[in-house]
Amino acid sequence: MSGSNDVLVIRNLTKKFGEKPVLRGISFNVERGETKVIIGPSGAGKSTLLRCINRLVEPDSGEIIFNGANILSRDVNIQEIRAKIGFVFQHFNLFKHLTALGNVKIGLKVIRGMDDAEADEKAREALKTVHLEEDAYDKYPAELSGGQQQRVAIARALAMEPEIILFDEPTSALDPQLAGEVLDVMKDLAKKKVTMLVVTHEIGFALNAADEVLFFYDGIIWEKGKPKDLLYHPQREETREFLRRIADLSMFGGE
Amino acid sequence: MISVESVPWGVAVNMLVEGARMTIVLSVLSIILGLIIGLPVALMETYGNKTLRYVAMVYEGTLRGIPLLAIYFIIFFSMPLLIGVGLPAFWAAVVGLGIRSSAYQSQIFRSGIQAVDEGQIEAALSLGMSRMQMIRHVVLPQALRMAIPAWMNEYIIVLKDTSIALAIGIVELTRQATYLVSITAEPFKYYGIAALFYLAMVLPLTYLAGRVGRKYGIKGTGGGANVRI
Amino acid sequence: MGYAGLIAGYLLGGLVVTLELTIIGFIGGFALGFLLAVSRTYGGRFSKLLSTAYIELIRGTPMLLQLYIIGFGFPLFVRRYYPSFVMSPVLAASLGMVLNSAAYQAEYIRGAFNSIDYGQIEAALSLGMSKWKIIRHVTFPQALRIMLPSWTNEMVYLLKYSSLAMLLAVPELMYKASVAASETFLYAQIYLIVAGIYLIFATLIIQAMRRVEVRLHIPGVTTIKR
Repeated sequence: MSGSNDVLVIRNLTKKFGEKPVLRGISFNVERGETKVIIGPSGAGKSTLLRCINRLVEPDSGEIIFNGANILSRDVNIQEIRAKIGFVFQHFNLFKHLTALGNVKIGLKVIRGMDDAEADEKAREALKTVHLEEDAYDKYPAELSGGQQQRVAIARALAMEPEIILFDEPTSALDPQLAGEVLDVMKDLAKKKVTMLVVTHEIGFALNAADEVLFFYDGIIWEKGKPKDLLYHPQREETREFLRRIADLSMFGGE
Repeated sequence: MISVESVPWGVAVNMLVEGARMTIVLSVLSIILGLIIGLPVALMETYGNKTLRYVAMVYEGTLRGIPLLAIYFIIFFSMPLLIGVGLPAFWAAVVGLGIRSSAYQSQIFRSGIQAVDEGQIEAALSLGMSRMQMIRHVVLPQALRMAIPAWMNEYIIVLKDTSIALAIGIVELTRQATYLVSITAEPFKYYGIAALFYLAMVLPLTYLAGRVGRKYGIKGTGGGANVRI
Repeated sequence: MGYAGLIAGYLLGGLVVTLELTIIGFIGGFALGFLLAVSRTYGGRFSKLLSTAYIELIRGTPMLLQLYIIGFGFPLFVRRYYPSFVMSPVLAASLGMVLNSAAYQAEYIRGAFNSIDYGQIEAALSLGMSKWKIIRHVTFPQALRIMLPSWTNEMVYLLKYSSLAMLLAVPELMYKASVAASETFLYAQIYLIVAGIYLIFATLIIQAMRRVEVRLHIPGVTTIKR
């Protein structure tokens, strides 16, 4: 069911790497203001799915409809599209030769064509949103903690004012304490109704902040539902099996 | 150059082979001399006291900072006048290239030594080994193994630089080729053959050094062979 | 010793030529090396093959052989058809050094570009940057800094190996030194002095470049030794 409220509609997406099928017909929507979370066992599939959405990876077949237009067609200006889709990587991927502030400004200057003063202002706003400590603004990525780096990465995506932000296991490379900082920022964004598609292992985040949770495994989405429904009362055996394997749900609190 | 003669193929081949032989002999003797001097210098620079370290640094710093041609001229022309003793051209060539190589080899071995994990040293000392024993039984075996790809690279450089010995009269491959070219005015033929010969020696060694480098080399230097240090 | 002035005159003249050869060799080598690197990374099958073959050929043979081919062999060959053909030794030596340095610099450039992790490229693509924008704003600033130590090495190398031009009768430092030595018989002193001059300039280059490295240092991109 797609309405004009959908930022992203995925239909029957498939992708094979050599002989191995990684996406076997994925379909779902993301509405404006929604926070959608994808959970599932580790494997190439979920990352690949996100990378297909901004065409870092080209899918084999299917449709990706972003703001009403199919972005898989040949005559689409992919750079313009990418500028409207934010991407936060598992390993942050900050530009090593730029300071935190510089990392957030670069997209605004080079792609949005802002002058330095304007970009500076917007960048500082974005960094405030992610609660980055002020003395970190002029530090280089190598001088920042993992949690700080990821927050800068989020600010970098936010500053571009995208229609949707994709998160590829944003906290998997962080130890639990630093992961917490980043998850707090993401929960904030979810409250502010930023449209987000998040791939994560953090069940607590799914419970707290997601509007809908999808269970992805072996190239297929087996189940979708509201967080409490899917996580506490999974319908499918595959989902149950997965949830059994990870830590006790009660640890992640509810409300 | 007006008169041009042709050289019988057999004669030419003989000359080039002689030149190649000289190139190889020169390179092997020089690299060995470089090893014999270079390793102790490396040890001096890493483990020595202030004086030893200083001497080693001056030695390798100087020899790496002046052209091989200058080293050759000093050994061949200056030395006899300064200390009254001279070397015949061949040995001057070996010594010159040898001591220059020793300076670079000392740096290669130093890198290898410094790449040995600190924990190994702590373990060795904790067992009760003396410094000498630790160096001999723990550090050097690992250091030398890790130095192999860079060392092979150094040999490639030495091999190519044997050509410079022609300046003090050594008839190695490049000089032989030049003789033939000056007689026949056929540069592409004879220089071409000389080039092929050098390539035949360098390319397989480069490939080998690359493979050995991936296996044994210092992590991060990835056995980059055929590079100027 | 009235010779001091004479010798100084010769050596100074030679030094100027040596420095010229070094600078031309380095800059020309970088320009051509950059083209080779781009050709080898982004070129079509034919360009890739050609540039790789060139690089392997140059790096697999002695520089002296290359200088002889250009400065001796080539003019000799041309004279079979145009007997009055003459090639300036300085031109030959400069050309030889540029062609030689380019092969090595191409690999330094390639190495620097390859050392930048793909994640940063992905991030730049995700922001919507085009290939050229990525090279200009992400890859190049980092590659430049990473290449600095290689540049230092290459400059010192060219300084030392410019001495080979002597054998093509180029009036650089070594050549002038041998002329001075044969006129004054002060072989011992002159060659030692010349060695000293090379050493001084090599050290100057290294010190100057180290200062540049420190100035441009970015933690996480470059490392400062010692």
